[in-house]
Amino acid sequence: MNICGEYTALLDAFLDGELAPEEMGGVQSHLEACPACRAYVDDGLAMRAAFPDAEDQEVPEGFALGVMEAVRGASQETAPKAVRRKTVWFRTAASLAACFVMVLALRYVLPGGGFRDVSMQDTAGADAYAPQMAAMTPEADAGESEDQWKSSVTAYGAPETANEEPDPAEAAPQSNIPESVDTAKDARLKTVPGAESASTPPAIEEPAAPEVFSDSAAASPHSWEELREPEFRAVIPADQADLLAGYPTLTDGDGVVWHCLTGESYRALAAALEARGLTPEVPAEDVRDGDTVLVQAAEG
Amino acid sequence: MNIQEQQWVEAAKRGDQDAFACLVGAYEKRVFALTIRMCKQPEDAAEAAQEAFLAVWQGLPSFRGEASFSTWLYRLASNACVDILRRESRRRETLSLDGEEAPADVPDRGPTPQEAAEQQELRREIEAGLAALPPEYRQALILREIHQLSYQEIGEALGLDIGTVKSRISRGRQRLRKILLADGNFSGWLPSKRTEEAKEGRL
Repeated sequence: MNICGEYTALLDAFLDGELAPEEMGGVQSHLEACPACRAYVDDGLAMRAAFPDAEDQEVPEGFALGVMEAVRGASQETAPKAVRRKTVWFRTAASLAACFVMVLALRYVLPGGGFRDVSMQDTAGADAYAPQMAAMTPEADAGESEDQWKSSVTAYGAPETANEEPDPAEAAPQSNIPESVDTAKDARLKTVPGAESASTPPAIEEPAAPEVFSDSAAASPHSWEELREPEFRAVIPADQADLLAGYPTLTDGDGVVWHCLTGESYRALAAALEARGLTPEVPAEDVRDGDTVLVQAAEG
Repeated sequence: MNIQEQQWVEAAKRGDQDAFACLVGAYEKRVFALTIRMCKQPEDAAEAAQEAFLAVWQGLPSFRGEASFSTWLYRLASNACVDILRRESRRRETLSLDGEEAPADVPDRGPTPQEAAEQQELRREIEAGLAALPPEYRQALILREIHQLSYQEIGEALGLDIGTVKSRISRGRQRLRKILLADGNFSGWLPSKRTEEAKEGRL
């Protein structure tokens, strides 16, 4: 059955919803009158129904993991060797560094090197700090922005030494990251909100004038990167797993499934947990919109 | 592209590897859906997919969003497939292998045990039909029917003008239909075939 020559071009556009509204009527009436063209359109719809869903596509196990290994390798190649240093995880050390950088910035950038416009006593919490930090992201080249501290975030929660598929060339540069660093990070993430919470930085950490700070960021982008919050991992009880439905997942080398949430979605999750009478281990206030939070539902 | 994905793109542009990992998780199926049908061999498909994501990572700092993120990703995936196919065809030439290839074994999580055997058969026939199409028709049809891209988006992803997109889709669809109608094995699930069989008293 051959379709009519004059309608050849239009039938596919019709099937694909690419016709202008005024053209639709003409094609529809023709289809009512022409069995050959009607058959083409019906077959097109039947073929469409038989096409597989992208969602059903099987992907080799560990694919995402392999990509991230390659990404880490690519990032480390471009990171200048001079700035490879151990990650500064601990809040206190980071705050002191922030303070130090600020002092230097103010000395060298402000006329007279004074502090007159700067309130070092501001006790606003992390939330005031955070948006400014986010806004001041230097437009760093992706390669250069990959500090060692980022590469030490084992994307899937397991210490480097547990990686089942080491690529010697890529695993080696990371071997100087001590396991204890990750343990310390995980321990920090699991602390109960309160006195030990990482959510309240020391008062002197507050940057006051954004333009001052961004100058210092331009002068020393790598120290700025060290100040940025490490990304978050959170665990919720297995029986709350319904709250994670619908989020994309990543599976790490141990087969642990992590759900990908943005800061916003994590805060919604935290609120839902609280509504169920549970306390989220990572406080919602700690998480900013631009953060990425990987969440696992686990027993115990 | 949803809000979550947009935020991950923004974060990944700033060098956030966790956010990028989430983008990989969110898009890996869609990328594989393309590469497995263009590259045939599963290892080639995986390599092309990884190349695509790596190219995204390296290109993100200068990605300004002129095209949408997904269109850009499919373009990189399509380019990666071309590179690999070119490499493979050079290799095959030296080995002087037959140019005809069996359709890729496309792993599909879709059919459950409960699902009718007929559905599996339809899938198999579509995959076989797709595999028999010339690559440029197959690619356009995949992006249209599996990824549901518009003509405009397909043009952006493949670097083609809309006229070429339209003609490849049209010719691809007509040829696929011919293949399915001509196949003696298939169960006649295309409406026009059933009409023919009904007319001939075979239904």
